[in-house]
Amino acid sequence: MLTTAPPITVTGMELTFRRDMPGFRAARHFVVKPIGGDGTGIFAHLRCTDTVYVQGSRPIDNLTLLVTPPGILWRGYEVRIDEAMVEELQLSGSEDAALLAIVHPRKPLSESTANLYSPIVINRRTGFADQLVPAASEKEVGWSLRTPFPPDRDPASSTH
Amino acid sequence: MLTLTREVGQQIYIGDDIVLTVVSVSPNGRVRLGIEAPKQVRIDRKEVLERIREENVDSANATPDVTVDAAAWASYGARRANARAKP
Repeated sequence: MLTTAPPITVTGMELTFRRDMPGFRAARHFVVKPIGGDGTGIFAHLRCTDTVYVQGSRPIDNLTLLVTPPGILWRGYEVRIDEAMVEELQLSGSEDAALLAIVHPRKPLSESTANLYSPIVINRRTGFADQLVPAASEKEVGWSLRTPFPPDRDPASSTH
Repeated sequence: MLTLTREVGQQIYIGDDIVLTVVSVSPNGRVRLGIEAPKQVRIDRKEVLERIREENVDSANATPDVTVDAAAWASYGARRANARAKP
């Protein structure tokens, strides 16, 4: 199944991961909180409400990631979701699915990258979610774990 | 680590419901494995999953700055959303 995640802005929602988010043991429950409020921007905080465990570090109570729906900055972005994930998230069609890419923030922020290789796939009806782990390589998929932000036409934006 | 010798077509049970089959072995050393397992069992290539884990942790480690810079991210996000809304 192909999904392209069409929204123009990001909106708030609660997510329940079907499996731990990779890298964070026990990370199952998240809240998507748009930066700047609902419907105004394209970035959101993804806050985990569980105590999570990272290998070699103390338990973390406030895991926060930055996310963006990848179809906004990367027009034409689409991803192949395998049957196992369709079933796991109980997706009945591509219109059920929403995508979020995890952003790796850098300074200046226009130099940030996003993980378009393994986006978070969401059932927007139920809030069930899971991070895609593709069977194919980055080269085969055509998207990188560290995809640069597309150029911003307004130079004022790239200042920090 | 348990090591077993198997030939093409031979199988291994892991627990009661996971079956591993050696499908083929090429002359250059590539081994094709078939895996039958319940749907809830996660099967991933080790190197792929480890890179995703590392990138997730690196991204989370870089994110506290974003909370400090939330206003900058909000205005950058709003402007890029507007740019996207234009035809």
